[in-house]
Amino acid sequence: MKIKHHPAPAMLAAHAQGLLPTATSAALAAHVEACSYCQALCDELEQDAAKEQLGQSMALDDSLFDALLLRLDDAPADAGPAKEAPTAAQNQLTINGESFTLPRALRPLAGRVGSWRRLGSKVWSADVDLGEKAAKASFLYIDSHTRIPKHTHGGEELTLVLSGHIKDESGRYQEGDFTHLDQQHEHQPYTEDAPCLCLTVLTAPLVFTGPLGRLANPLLRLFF
Amino acid sequence: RDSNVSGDQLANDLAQIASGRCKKAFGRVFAYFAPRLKAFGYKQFGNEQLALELVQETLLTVWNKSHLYDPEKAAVSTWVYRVARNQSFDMMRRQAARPETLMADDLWPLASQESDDVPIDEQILGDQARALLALLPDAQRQVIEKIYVEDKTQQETALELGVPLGTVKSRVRLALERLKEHLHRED
Ligand SMILES: [Zn+2]
Ligand SMILES: [Zn+2]
Repeated sequence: MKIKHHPAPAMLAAHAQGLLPTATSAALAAHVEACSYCQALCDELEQDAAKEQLGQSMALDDSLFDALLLRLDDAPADAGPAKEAPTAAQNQLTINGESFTLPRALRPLAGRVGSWRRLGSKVWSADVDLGEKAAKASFLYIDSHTRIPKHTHGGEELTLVLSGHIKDESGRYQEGDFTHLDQQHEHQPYTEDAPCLCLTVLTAPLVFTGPLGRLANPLLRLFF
Repeated sequence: RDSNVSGDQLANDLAQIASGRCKKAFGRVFAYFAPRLKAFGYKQFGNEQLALELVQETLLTVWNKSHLYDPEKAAVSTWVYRVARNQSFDMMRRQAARPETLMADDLWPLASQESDDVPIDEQILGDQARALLALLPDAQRQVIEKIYVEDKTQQETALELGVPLGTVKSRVRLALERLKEHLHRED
Protein backbone atom coordinates (compact mmCIF):
# COMPACT_ATOMS: atom_id res chain seq x y z
CA MET A 1 0.00 0.00 0.00
CA LYS A 2 2.69 2.46 -0.92
CA ILE A 3 1.59 5.92 -1.91
CA LYS A 4 2.67 6.65 -5.47
CA HIS A 5 0.93 9.88 -6.43
CA HIS A 6 1.92 13.06 -4.62
CA PRO A 7 0.99 16.74 -4.81
CA ALA A 8 3.38 18.98 -6.74
CA PRO A 9 6.08 20.61 -4.57
CA ALA A 10 4.78 24.09 -5.48
CA MET A 11 1.38 23.20 -4.10
CA LEU A 12 2.94 21.81 -0.92
CA ALA A 13 4.97 25.01 -0.57
CA ALA A 14 1.77 27.09 -0.70
CA HIS A 15 0.21 24.67 1.80
CA ALA A 16 3.19 25.00 4.14
CA GLN A 17 2.59 28.76 4.16
CA GLY A 18 -1.14 28.45 4.78
CA LEU A 19 -1.96 30.20 1.53
CA LEU A 20 -4.52 27.74 0.13
CA PRO A 21 -8.28 27.47 0.64
CA THR A 22 -9.24 25.32 3.62
CA ALA A 23 -10.69 22.55 1.45
CA THR A 24 -7.43 22.27 -0.48
CA SER A 25 -5.35 22.37 2.69
CA ALA A 26 -7.52 19.66 4.22
CA ALA A 27 -6.92 17.32 1.28
CA LEU A 28 -3.20 18.05 1.40
CA ALA A 29 -2.98 17.63 5.17
CA ALA A 30 -4.69 14.25 4.94
CA HIS A 31 -2.21 13.14 2.29
CA VAL A 32 0.82 14.47 4.18
CA GLU A 33 -0.31 12.70 7.33
CA ALA A 34 -0.05 9.35 5.55
CA CYS A 35 2.95 10.10 3.33
CA SER A 36 6.38 10.21 4.93
CA TYR A 37 7.88 11.51 1.69
CA CYS A 38 5.67 14.61 1.64
CA GLN A 39 6.02 14.97 5.40
CA ALA A 40 9.77 15.35 5.03
CA LEU A 41 9.29 17.77 2.15
CA CYS A 42 6.84 19.85 4.20
CA ASP A 43 9.32 20.00 7.06
CA GLU A 44 11.88 21.48 4.67
CA LEU A 45 9.37 23.86 3.13
CA GLU A 46 8.33 25.09 6.57
CA GLN A 47 11.97 25.62 7.43
CA ASP A 48 12.39 27.73 4.27
CA ALA A 49 9.18 29.62 4.99
CA ALA A 50 10.34 30.32 8.54
CA LYS A 51 13.61 31.82 7.27
CA GLU A 52 11.77 33.92 4.73
CA GLN A 53 8.78 35.01 6.81
CA LEU A 54 10.58 35.57 10.10
CA GLY A 55 13.61 37.16 8.46
CA GLN A 56 12.51 40.76 8.98
CA SER A 57 11.75 42.69 12.14
CA MET A 58 9.45 45.57 13.05
CA ALA A 59 9.95 47.57 16.22
CA LEU A 60 7.30 47.24 18.87
CA ASP A 61 6.35 48.94 22.09
CA ASP A 62 7.71 47.45 25.34
CA SER A 63 4.24 47.63 26.85
CA LEU A 64 3.29 44.64 24.71
CA PHE A 65 5.53 42.37 26.77
CA ASP A 66 3.98 43.59 30.01
CA ALA A 67 0.50 43.02 28.64
CA LEU A 68 1.49 39.52 27.64
CA LEU A 69 3.07 38.72 31.02
CA LEU A 70 -0.28 39.46 32.65
CA ARG A 71 -1.91 36.84 30.47
CA LEU A 72 0.62 34.06 31.06
CA ASP A 73 -0.98 32.81 34.22
CA ASP A 74 -4.46 32.63 32.73
CA ALA A 75 -5.60 29.14 32.02
CA PRO A 76 -4.56 28.22 28.50
CA ALA A 77 -7.37 28.66 26.03
CA ASP A 78 -7.35 25.01 25.10
CA ALA A 79 -7.56 23.69 28.66
CA GLY A 80 -11.28 24.34 28.89
CA PRO A 81 -13.84 21.57 28.82
CA ALA A 82 -15.08 22.65 25.38
CA LYS A 83 -12.95 20.44 23.19
CA GLU A 84 -13.74 16.85 23.99
CA ALA A 85 -11.92 14.22 22.03
CA PRO A 86 -14.32 12.87 19.43
CA THR A 87 -15.48 9.32 19.93
CA ALA A 88 -14.46 6.66 17.45
CA ALA A 89 -17.91 6.78 15.87
CA GLN A 90 -17.60 10.53 15.31
CA ASN A 91 -14.44 9.98 13.29
CA GLN A 92 -16.26 7.76 10.87
CA LEU A 93 -18.09 8.21 7.67
CA THR A 94 -20.79 5.69 6.86
CA ILE A 95 -22.11 5.17 3.37
CA ASN A 96 -23.77 2.27 1.63
CA GLY A 97 -23.54 0.20 4.81
CA GLU A 98 -19.78 0.58 5.09
CA SER A 99 -17.96 2.65 7.71
CA PHE A 100 -14.66 4.37 7.07
CA THR A 101 -12.33 5.89 9.65
CA LEU A 102 -11.26 9.30 8.44
CA PRO A 103 -7.65 10.47 8.40
CA ARG A 104 -6.94 12.59 11.45
CA ALA A 105 -6.87 15.86 9.50
CA LEU A 106 -10.39 15.22 8.18
CA ARG A 107 -12.00 14.11 11.41
CA PRO A 108 -13.29 17.55 12.33
CA LEU A 109 -15.19 17.46 9.04
CA ALA A 110 -17.22 14.40 9.95
CA GLY A 111 -19.77 16.61 11.70
CA ARG A 112 -20.16 18.95 8.73
CA VAL A 113 -20.81 16.41 6.03
CA GLY A 114 -24.07 17.15 4.27
CA SER A 115 -26.49 14.44 3.25
CA TRP A 116 -25.39 11.84 0.73
CA ARG A 117 -26.86 12.43 -2.70
CA ARG A 118 -27.07 9.81 -5.34
CA LEU A 119 -25.48 10.67 -8.68
CA GLY A 120 -26.52 7.90 -10.98
CA SER A 121 -27.17 4.46 -9.63
CA LYS A 122 -23.78 3.69 -8.09
CA VAL A 123 -22.18 7.00 -7.18
CA TRP A 124 -22.89 9.01 -4.02
CA SER A 125 -21.57 12.38 -3.02
CA ALA A 126 -21.73 14.47 0.15
CA ASP A 127 -20.52 18.04 0.38
CA VAL A 128 -18.56 19.43 3.28
CA ASP A 129 -19.48 22.96 4.22
CA LEU A 130 -16.35 24.96 4.93
CA GLY A 131 -17.95 28.30 4.14
CA GLU A 132 -15.64 28.99 1.22
CA LYS A 133 -16.37 29.68 -2.41
CA ALA A 134 -12.84 29.29 -3.75
CA ALA A 135 -12.83 25.52 -3.46
CA LYS A 136 -15.44 22.97 -2.64
CA ALA A 137 -14.80 19.73 -0.78
CA SER A 138 -16.97 16.64 -1.17
CA PHE A 139 -16.73 13.02 -0.28
CA LEU A 140 -17.36 10.79 -3.25
CA TYR A 141 -18.26 7.14 -2.93
CA ILE A 142 -18.17 5.04 -6.08
CA ASP A 143 -19.45 1.50 -5.92
CA SER A 144 -17.46 -1.34 -7.48
CA HIS A 145 -17.46 -1.80 -11.28
CA THR A 146 -18.65 1.75 -11.92
CA ARG A 147 -17.60 4.30 -14.50
CA ILE A 148 -17.79 8.05 -13.90
CA PRO A 149 -18.83 9.71 -17.18
CA LYS A 150 -15.94 11.01 -19.24
CA HIS A 151 -15.21 14.60 -18.29
CA THR A 152 -12.78 17.46 -18.30
CA HIS A 153 -12.53 20.09 -15.60
CA GLY A 154 -13.80 23.63 -15.41
CA GLY A 155 -11.08 24.35 -12.90
CA GLU A 156 -8.91 22.25 -10.65
CA GLU A 157 -9.86 18.80 -9.44
CA LEU A 158 -7.94 17.41 -6.48
CA THR A 159 -8.64 13.85 -5.46
CA LEU A 160 -7.43 12.03 -2.38
CA VAL A 161 -8.25 8.34 -2.28
CA LEU A 162 -9.38 7.37 1.20
CA SER A 163 -10.29 3.74 0.65
CA GLY A 164 -10.19 1.24 -2.18
CA HIS A 165 -8.72 2.23 -5.51
CA ILE A 166 -9.78 3.92 -8.71
CA LYS A 167 -8.27 3.92 -12.18
CA ASP A 168 -8.35 6.15 -15.20
CA GLU A 169 -6.52 6.30 -18.53
CA SER A 170 -3.32 7.43 -16.84
CA GLY A 171 -3.03 5.29 -13.78
CA ARG A 172 -4.21 3.46 -10.71
CA TYR A 173 -4.78 5.42 -7.55
CA GLN A 174 -5.08 3.84 -4.16
CA GLU A 175 -5.40 4.79 -0.53
CA GLY A 176 -3.40 7.94 0.17
CA ASP A 177 -2.77 8.79 -3.48
CA PHE A 178 -3.30 12.42 -4.42
CA THR A 179 -4.06 13.64 -7.93
CA HIS A 180 -4.36 17.14 -9.32
CA LEU A 181 -6.04 17.63 -12.70
CA ASP A 182 -7.31 20.71 -14.52
CA GLN A 183 -8.79 22.00 -17.80
CA GLN A 184 -6.08 20.25 -19.80
CA HIS A 185 -7.06 16.78 -18.63
CA GLU A 186 -9.91 14.64 -19.86
CA HIS A 187 -10.50 11.32 -18.18
CA GLN A 188 -12.95 8.62 -17.29
CA PRO A 189 -12.32 7.25 -13.81
CA TYR A 190 -13.64 3.78 -12.96
CA THR A 191 -13.61 1.35 -10.10
CA GLU A 192 -12.91 -2.37 -10.32
CA ASP A 193 -13.85 -5.08 -7.86
CA ALA A 194 -14.17 -2.84 -4.79
CA PRO A 195 -15.87 0.44 -4.00
CA CYS A 196 -13.77 3.57 -3.66
CA LEU A 197 -14.13 6.48 -1.24
CA CYS A 198 -12.42 9.75 -2.14
CA LEU A 199 -12.25 13.30 -0.97
CA THR A 200 -12.49 15.63 -3.96
CA VAL A 201 -11.86 19.35 -4.06
CA LEU A 202 -13.16 21.29 -7.05
CA THR A 203 -12.64 24.94 -7.90
CA ALA A 204 -15.22 24.77 -10.73
CA PRO A 205 -17.75 22.22 -12.00
CA LEU A 206 -16.75 19.25 -14.12
CA VAL A 207 -17.54 19.37 -17.84
CA PHE A 208 -18.82 16.06 -19.16
CA THR A 209 -17.56 15.27 -22.63
CA GLY A 210 -18.75 11.76 -23.54
CA PRO A 211 -21.75 11.21 -25.82
CA LEU A 212 -24.07 10.44 -22.93
CA GLY A 213 -22.21 12.51 -20.42
CA ARG A 214 -22.88 15.68 -22.38
CA LEU A 215 -26.51 15.21 -21.55
CA ALA A 216 -25.48 15.43 -17.93
CA ASN A 217 -23.96 18.89 -18.19
CA PRO A 218 -27.20 20.60 -17.22
CA LEU A 219 -27.08 18.54 -14.04
CA LEU A 220 -23.59 19.67 -13.19
CA ARG A 221 -24.66 21.58 -10.19
CA LEU A 222 -25.19 18.21 -8.61
CA PHE A 223 -21.47 17.70 -8.77
CA PHE A 224 -20.50 21.17 -7.73
CA ARG B 1 21.47 42.31 19.36
CA ASP B 2 19.45 39.27 18.44
CA SER B 3 21.94 38.08 15.85
CA ASN B 4 23.86 36.73 18.85
CA VAL B 5 21.02 34.50 19.90
CA SER B 6 21.70 30.92 18.93
CA GLY B 7 19.17 28.25 18.10
CA ASP B 8 20.48 26.18 21.00
CA GLN B 9 19.82 29.01 23.43
CA LEU B 10 16.26 29.37 22.17
CA ALA B 11 15.69 25.62 22.39
CA ASN B 12 16.98 25.75 25.92
CA ASP B 13 14.59 28.61 26.69
CA LEU B 14 11.64 26.63 25.36
CA ALA B 15 12.67 23.69 27.53
CA GLN B 16 12.78 25.96 30.58
CA ILE B 17 9.33 27.31 29.77
CA ALA B 18 7.99 23.80 29.40
CA SER B 19 9.52 22.41 32.57
CA GLY B 20 9.64 25.42 34.90
CA ARG B 21 7.25 28.04 33.49
CA CYS B 22 10.31 30.30 33.41
CA LYS B 23 9.35 33.91 32.64
CA LYS B 24 12.95 34.97 32.14
CA ALA B 25 13.31 32.41 29.39
CA PHE B 26 10.01 33.61 27.94
CA GLY B 27 11.39 37.15 27.97
CA ARG B 28 14.31 36.04 25.79
CA VAL B 29 12.00 34.20 23.40
CA PHE B 30 9.82 37.31 23.25
CA ALA B 31 12.78 39.60 22.57
CA TYR B 32 13.90 37.45 19.68
CA PHE B 33 10.59 36.59 18.06
CA ALA B 34 8.13 39.42 18.78
CA PRO B 35 9.63 41.90 16.27
CA ARG B 36 9.86 39.17 13.65
CA LEU B 37 6.32 38.04 14.26
CA LYS B 38 5.12 41.61 13.99
CA ALA B 39 6.76 41.95 10.56
CA PHE B 40 5.17 38.63 9.52
CA GLY B 41 1.76 39.69 10.86
CA TYR B 42 1.97 42.99 9.08
CA LYS B 43 2.69 41.19 5.84
CA GLN B 44 -0.28 38.86 6.39
CA PHE B 45 -2.85 41.43 7.47
CA GLY B 46 -1.51 44.81 6.32
CA ASN B 47 -2.68 46.23 9.62
CA GLU B 48 -0.85 47.05 12.85
CA GLN B 49 -3.59 45.96 15.22
CA LEU B 50 -3.97 42.51 13.70
CA ALA B 51 -0.20 42.17 13.44
CA LEU B 52 0.06 42.77 17.20
CA GLU B 53 -2.77 40.34 17.88
CA LEU B 54 -0.83 37.74 15.91
CA VAL B 55 2.31 38.46 17.97
CA GLN B 56 0.47 38.06 21.26
CA GLU B 57 -1.55 34.98 20.38
CA THR B 58 1.45 33.27 18.83
CA LEU B 59 3.67 33.86 21.85
CA LEU B 60 0.92 32.83 24.26
CA THR B 61 0.62 29.57 22.34
CA VAL B 62 4.38 29.15 22.52
CA TRP B 63 4.12 29.63 26.32
CA ASN B 64 1.26 27.15 26.66
CA LYS B 65 2.47 24.51 24.23
CA SER B 66 6.24 24.64 24.56
CA HIS B 67 6.15 21.01 25.75
CA LEU B 68 5.16 20.00 22.22
CA TYR B 69 8.41 21.32 20.79
CA ASP B 70 10.89 18.58 19.91
CA PRO B 71 14.42 19.86 19.28
CA GLU B 72 15.25 16.67 17.37
CA LYS B 73 12.58 17.41 14.79
CA ALA B 74 12.80 21.11 14.02
CA ALA B 75 14.61 24.36 14.71
CA VAL B 76 12.88 26.65 17.22
CA SER B 77 12.26 29.25 14.52
CA THR B 78 10.54 26.66 12.31
CA TRP B 79 8.30 25.60 15.17
CA VAL B 80 7.44 29.18 16.13
CA TYR B 81 6.71 29.88 12.47
CA ARG B 82 4.27 26.93 12.47
CA VAL B 83 2.51 28.35 15.51
CA ALA B 84 2.29 31.77 13.82
CA ARG B 85 1.13 30.32 10.48
CA ASN B 86 -1.62 28.39 12.25
CA GLN B 87 -2.65 31.45 14.22
CA SER B 88 -2.74 33.55 11.07
CA PHE B 89 -4.77 30.91 9.20
CA ASP B 90 -7.37 30.81 11.99
CA MET B 91 -7.50 34.59 12.30
CA MET B 92 -8.14 34.91 8.57
CA ARG B 93 -10.92 32.34 8.67
CA ARG B 94 -12.47 34.05 11.68
CA GLN B 95 -12.33 37.40 9.90
CA ALA B 96 -14.15 35.92 6.95
CA ALA B 97 -16.72 34.55 9.44
CA ARG B 98 -16.14 31.00 8.26
CA PRO B 99 -17.29 28.09 10.38
CA GLU B 100 -14.56 27.02 12.77
CA THR B 101 -14.90 23.39 11.86
CA LEU B 102 -11.36 22.88 10.84
CA MET B 103 -8.78 24.75 12.84
CA ALA B 104 -5.22 25.11 11.65
CA ASP B 105 -3.95 22.82 14.41
CA ASP B 106 -5.99 20.03 12.83
CA LEU B 107 -4.30 20.63 9.50
CA TRP B 108 -0.79 21.24 10.80
CA PRO B 109 -0.31 19.52 14.17
CA LEU B 110 2.20 21.40 16.32
CA ALA B 111 3.69 18.27 17.81
CA SER B 112 5.71 16.20 15.43
CA GLN B 113 3.80 12.98 14.96
CA GLU B 114 1.55 13.56 17.93
CA SER B 115 -0.99 11.45 16.10
CA ASP B 116 -1.97 7.97 17.08
CA ASP B 117 -1.74 6.91 13.50
CA VAL B 118 1.80 7.44 12.32
CA PRO B 119 1.99 5.72 8.95
CA ILE B 120 2.94 2.36 10.24
CA ASP B 121 4.03 0.95 6.90
CA GLU B 122 6.89 3.43 6.86
CA GLN B 123 7.95 2.54 10.38
CA ILE B 124 8.13 -1.15 9.89
CA LEU B 125 10.02 -1.19 6.61
CA GLY B 126 13.53 -2.52 6.81
CA ASP B 127 15.26 -5.21 8.75
CA GLN B 128 13.11 -4.75 11.79
CA ALA B 129 10.09 -5.78 9.77
CA ARG B 130 10.65 -9.53 9.68
CA ALA B 131 11.35 -9.72 13.37
CA LEU B 132 8.23 -7.73 14.13
CA LEU B 133 6.05 -9.76 11.81
CA ALA B 134 7.16 -12.91 13.59
CA LEU B 135 5.42 -11.56 16.69
CA LEU B 136 2.02 -11.68 15.03
CA PRO B 137 -0.40 -14.59 15.11
CA ASP B 138 -0.33 -16.45 11.78
CA ALA B 139 -3.63 -15.12 10.48
CA GLN B 140 -2.62 -11.51 11.07
CA ARG B 141 0.88 -11.98 9.69
CA GLN B 142 -0.46 -13.49 6.48
CA VAL B 143 -2.66 -10.48 5.88
CA ILE B 144 0.06 -7.97 6.69
CA GLU B 145 2.53 -9.70 4.38
CA LYS B 146 0.12 -9.72 1.47
CA ILE B 147 -0.73 -6.06 1.88
CA TYR B 148 2.53 -4.49 3.00
CA VAL B 149 5.08 -6.78 1.42
CA GLU B 150 3.35 -8.04 -1.71
CA ASP B 151 1.51 -4.74 -2.22
CA LYS B 152 -1.90 -6.36 -2.65
CA THR B 153 -5.16 -4.56 -1.98
CA GLN B 154 -7.32 -5.61 0.96
CA GLN B 155 -9.88 -6.92 -1.52
CA GLU B 156 -7.29 -9.03 -3.34
CA THR B 157 -6.06 -10.34 -0.02
CA ALA B 158 -9.58 -11.30 1.00
CA LEU B 159 -10.10 -13.19 -2.25
CA GLU B 160 -6.79 -15.01 -2.01
CA LEU B 161 -7.36 -16.08 1.56
CA GLY B 162 -11.02 -16.84 0.97
CA VAL B 163 -12.20 -14.66 3.87
CA PRO B 164 -14.61 -11.70 3.90
CA LEU B 165 -13.19 -8.20 3.35
CA GLY B 166 -14.29 -7.21 6.84
CA THR B 167 -12.15 -9.98 8.33
CA VAL B 168 -9.10 -8.73 6.43
CA LYS B 169 -9.77 -5.22 7.65
CA SER B 170 -10.07 -6.23 11.27
CA ARG B 171 -6.95 -8.41 11.06
CA VAL B 172 -5.02 -5.48 9.62
CA ARG B 173 -6.24 -3.24 12.39
CA LEU B 174 -5.41 -5.72 15.14
CA ALA B 175 -2.01 -6.43 13.65
CA LEU B 176 -1.11 -2.76 13.32
CA GLU B 177 -2.19 -2.09 16.88
CA ARG B 178 -0.02 -4.92 18.07
CA LEU B 179 2.98 -3.76 16.03
CA LYS B 180 2.52 -0.21 17.23
CA GLU B 181 2.56 -1.40 20.83
CA HIS B 182 5.85 -3.15 20.24
CA LEU B 183 7.37 -0.14 18.52
CA HIS B 184 6.39 2.13 21.38
CA ARG B 185 7.72 -0.29 23.93
CA GLU B 186 11.09 -0.33 22.20
CA ASP B 187 11.69 3.41 22.23
ZN1 LIG C 1 3.15 12.36 -0.77
ZN1 LIG D 1 -11.86 14.46 -13.12
